[in-house]
Amino acid sequence: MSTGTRDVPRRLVPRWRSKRDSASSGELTTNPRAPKNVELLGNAFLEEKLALWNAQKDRDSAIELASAAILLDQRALASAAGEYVERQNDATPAERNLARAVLSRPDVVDPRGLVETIDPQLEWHASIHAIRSLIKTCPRNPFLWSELSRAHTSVGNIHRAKDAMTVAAQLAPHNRYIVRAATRLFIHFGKPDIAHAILLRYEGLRHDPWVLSAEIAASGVLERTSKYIAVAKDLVKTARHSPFQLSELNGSLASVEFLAGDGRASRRHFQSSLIQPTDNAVAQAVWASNHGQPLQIPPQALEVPNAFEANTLKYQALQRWDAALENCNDWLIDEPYSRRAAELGSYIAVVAQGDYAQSEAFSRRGLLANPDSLMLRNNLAVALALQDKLEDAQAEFSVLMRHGLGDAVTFNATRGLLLYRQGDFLAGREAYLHAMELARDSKDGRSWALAGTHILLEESRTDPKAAAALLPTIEKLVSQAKDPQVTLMFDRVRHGMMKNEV
Amino acid sequence: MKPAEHLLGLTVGSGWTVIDKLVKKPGESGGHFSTGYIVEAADGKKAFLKAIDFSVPPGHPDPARFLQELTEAFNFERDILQQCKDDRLRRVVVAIEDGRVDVPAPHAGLVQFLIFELAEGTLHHRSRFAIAFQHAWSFRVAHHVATGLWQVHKQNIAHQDLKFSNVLVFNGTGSKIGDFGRASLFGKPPMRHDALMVAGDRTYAPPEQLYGHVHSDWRTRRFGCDMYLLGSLLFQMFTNVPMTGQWLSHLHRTHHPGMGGWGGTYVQVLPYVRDAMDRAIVDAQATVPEPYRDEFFRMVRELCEPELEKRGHPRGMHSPANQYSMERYISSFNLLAYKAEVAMRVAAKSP
Repeated sequence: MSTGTRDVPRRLVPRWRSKRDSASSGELTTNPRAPKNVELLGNAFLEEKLALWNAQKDRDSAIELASAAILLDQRALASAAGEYVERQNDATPAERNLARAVLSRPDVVDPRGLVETIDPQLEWHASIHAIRSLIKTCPRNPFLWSELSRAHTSVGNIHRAKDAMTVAAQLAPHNRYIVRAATRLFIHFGKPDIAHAILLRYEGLRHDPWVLSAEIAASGVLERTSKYIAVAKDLVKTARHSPFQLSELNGSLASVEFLAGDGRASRRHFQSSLIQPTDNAVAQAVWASNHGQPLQIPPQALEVPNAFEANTLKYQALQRWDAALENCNDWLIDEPYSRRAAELGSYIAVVAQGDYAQSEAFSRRGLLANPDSLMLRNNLAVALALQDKLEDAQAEFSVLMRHGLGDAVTFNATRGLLLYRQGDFLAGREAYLHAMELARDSKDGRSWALAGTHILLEESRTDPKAAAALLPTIEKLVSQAKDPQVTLMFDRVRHGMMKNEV
Repeated sequence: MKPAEHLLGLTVGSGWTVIDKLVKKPGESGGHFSTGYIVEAADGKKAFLKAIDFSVPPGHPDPARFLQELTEAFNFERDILQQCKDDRLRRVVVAIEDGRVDVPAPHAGLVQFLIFELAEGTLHHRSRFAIAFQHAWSFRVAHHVATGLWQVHKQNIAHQDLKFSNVLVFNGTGSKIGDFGRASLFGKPPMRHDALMVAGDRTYAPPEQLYGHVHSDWRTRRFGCDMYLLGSLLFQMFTNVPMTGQWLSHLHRTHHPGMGGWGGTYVQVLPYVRDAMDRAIVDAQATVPEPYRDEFFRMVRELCEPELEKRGHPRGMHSPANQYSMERYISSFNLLAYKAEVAMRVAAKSP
């Protein structure tokens, strides 16, 4: 059982949500500016249309006025015309759309492009079907391709997801949403070089904080230092962008400084990133805070919409496991392809909560989108074995044996668990002890203690006396590891042993 | 009162008698400085007279500049119409004659005029023509308008203001395009409106113009605009809404071309525009009858393609001369019109 990601530094890789959600979050805006076309500001032509409408009060003049009012974003002027069109029994769908747009309240932010017509409640396979049918009609729409890629990613169709995103990136190489989505996808599938190449082709890279942030993150994943660090530092100093627009860029710069050991500069950037943060920037700050960066995370930062990862990490650090799992669950709904969310959820459920069924659910959801993740498959095997679903557990473990899990400690511990549950106590104990030796040799105190706690659990089920003899040694290991989750599991096992004695 | 508003009863040009004055409704297009009349020749033939007022509005800060601009605009339109007449363009409303008239006292003044064939109405009055045979009629209009554009494009003239009110419908001869007041001529000194981002009516403008994207090639920029306007006209004939208003209504406010909206480049916002336009087209599918639907929307999609460099027929993409050629669309509209006419006849014969 492992989170699989403990030692990998978190990078501020862009979130990949639907275009509707990204637009609603404010991520797809630019700095408003006066249009280059100054004549657009003139109202004379709108006044002409208004005069025509007032004189004629017919359908054509209503449509002309509504179109002009939408163009100048002065919809209130055309509200009577909009109502007139809405009242027409034989109005076409286009006329009704126009009337609705004119009559919408100014504060309503409702992106309604073609891609938004896909029902977000659809199951992923149905969604794929719906998107493909729209692509047949609109093959040049990059958002349909990226949405197709997202749907394929969520069900683990890796090659189709990559192909669809490649088309999207070719169709819209200079669109922020597409470029950031492509970055997330290719990093997710272990191709950060492709992600980086896409980012470098973006025409406004030096001026777009959102894409610049992604470039720094992708460079980090490639274990390179971005060539745009100086540009990014200049950009965050200028007053051209709002703190929200600069949030992720500040977070990326903070992470670079943090990993380089410059605590002061890192703290400064993190603080700037938290003025008006995105949920991703908050998660980055919480991660750094949990890894030794002294940071004050403002409580309101954790209340930004969709801050599920940040809250998972926060509650994990606070050892509030119910809240951590709840947020982890929301995180996985928000990013169904997130391997980290599934791994962390399945791990916390077993180790901290002893909720094996929930761990199984997390692993299965994670495997749907990440069928190649051996760590998730290992966690699934463990959750199944702990529920005594031994055939299923063995089937999952066989996959691990075929592919070879990179983490030998985890692999041997899982093998030990299975052998114990299958009744081969001797071989099980041997496998666990081997896992413990490997952990000890690699100075991984947490895994050492965790394997020890697991052996204690199995021994308490099969040989209480041997378990009692083992208890002081394992207790010592657990206290040395200082890992709250392992401690919690150990306490639970010890409590169970004492209850059995009584 | 301006002299141009007092022509009733006068005889102008080669014997045309001004018999009726057309009352312009507030906001109606046709220029602020012109007045429309019905004139009649000695043989009883009627025509439309457009009188241009050259009097300076009271209190105008720069009368000389005002008169210069008005004169340039008048000469520009007259020269274009003369060129179209010389080249015998059948689908363009050409001037029968032009000239000037001295208006007697008490409204004395010099008025320039243009006399055109008298149309039955514009596309705004389509309900008069199209009740019983809407589809056949609409495709035939599209065929005529595309032919008109092709004819002027061959003369290196871009119309730039194609809309319902500038398509005139004639009994017997079909439809023609008119009003070249916003046109652009390749190789000629630019007019004042050539310097504007949107030369024609902004309500119908193509997306690249609304976002201030100027293509360096005249042909791409101007013929591409006409192509979009033709697609928008076609879309409007079936949906009643011009394409620009329709895709703008599907666009998120932050991507809007106006004040407070999009601050990036056109190429960056292009996918959002495309998404909104795709939505507009998909939503409108049911408006067009099934036998014509695929062909109709293929053409709308190609003509209104938001990426200027990809606008037009896919087979003509290798050169601007072919890419913005109307010939393929003329054939397609003609075919659709024939199909609809046949369907109409079959329906009429069936019991």
